[in-house]
Amino acid sequence: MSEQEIREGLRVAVWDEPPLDFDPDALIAQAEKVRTRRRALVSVGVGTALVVVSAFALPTLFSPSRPDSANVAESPTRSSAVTAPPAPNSQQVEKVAVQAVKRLHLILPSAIGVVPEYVDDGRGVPVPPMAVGRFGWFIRFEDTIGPTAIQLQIGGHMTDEKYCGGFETCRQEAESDGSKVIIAEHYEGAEMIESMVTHVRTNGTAVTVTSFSYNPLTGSGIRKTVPIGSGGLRVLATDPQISWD
Amino acid sequence: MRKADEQGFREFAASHAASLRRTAYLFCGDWHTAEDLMQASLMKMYLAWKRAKDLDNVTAYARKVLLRTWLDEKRRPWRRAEQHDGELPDTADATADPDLTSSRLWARELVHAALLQVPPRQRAVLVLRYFEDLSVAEVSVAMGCTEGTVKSQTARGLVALRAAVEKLDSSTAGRVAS
Repeated sequence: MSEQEIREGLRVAVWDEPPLDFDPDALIAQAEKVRTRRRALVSVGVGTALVVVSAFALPTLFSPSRPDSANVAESPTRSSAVTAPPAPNSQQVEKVAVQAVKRLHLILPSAIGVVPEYVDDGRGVPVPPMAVGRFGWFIRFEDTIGPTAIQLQIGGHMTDEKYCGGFETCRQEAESDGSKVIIAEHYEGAEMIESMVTHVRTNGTAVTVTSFSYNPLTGSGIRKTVPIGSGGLRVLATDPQISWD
Repeated sequence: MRKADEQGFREFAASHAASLRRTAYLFCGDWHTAEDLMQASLMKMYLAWKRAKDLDNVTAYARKVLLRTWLDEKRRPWRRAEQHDGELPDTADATADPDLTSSRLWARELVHAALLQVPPRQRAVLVLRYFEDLSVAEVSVAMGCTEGTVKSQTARGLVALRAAVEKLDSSTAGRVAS
């Protein structure tokens, strides 16, 4: 088959062409509809994008905690005072633990078998410390209900939100020496199932004592409420007889 | 769009609709699809008319839009070509010239059975070169490829078309003999 035959064949191939019923005005009307719909879609898309961007940007812009230039300028001094506390070493922790064990008898006279249960940063920790660099351990004891434990942590102060996150109630109270106490409580119905008291000391360290409605060392021994309430925990966390530093 | 531009498009569309549909038919082998392709291409032309009207060769641009529209349509996964099966009943047309009708039917078979077996881009090159009588340079503009590619696609397309025609001839001869 030559190229000429192909050319002729293609010409003859359209001989049975059906009549063309083409209306340019109808096509233009349809095209205008498409254009309008496309513009509307773009408007909706842009509007949605603006709403999403605003939703994320506005709270940041108008947040009272947004750092302005003055705060930024003075922030290095403040952070050095707060975030660089003297880190306790293991000997200090042991010393504090022994003192805390003694003081627990004053808070909970019925407690027997009070012993410290040491843990450190994340290795074999039943309940991990709240942040890296914070030393944590437990004080194991047995009260009238059964064996349980409370958790103690010492380290640099974190943001207040870290102490309050996930708790139903959280309040701060100032101490006479300029330090502050953060008391957070977690409830299940009317019963308190976790109580955490943090003493943020003037030198930037924070002592956190937590009591649970179960034995945090075993995960069992569930009881109705915590063995030591926030009052007792506060006494322990702010106890001047304990060498927290 | 301004009235003058709209009138310009109206005149362009009215004068080119038939030729675009014919080219589309040779691309796809079906008059209904060809009409859809022509309408879709002209709609795209209308939406871009503000820029398209000032081009040196608006017809070439329209052909390019038609080709792109067809190739895009073929790529769509939900687009399914009609499956022809079974035999259409042969009914004699008493008023038709048997010789002329025979040659025309053969030509139509050429398109439906042979040209449609050629791969899409090679088919497009053959239609643009031998039906639209475009030069290699014009086809390369319409296809958006180099002239060398047009030449190679033409050569391959011709080989594929001749093979398809030979296959068609042998099968027709076989049917007649049996």
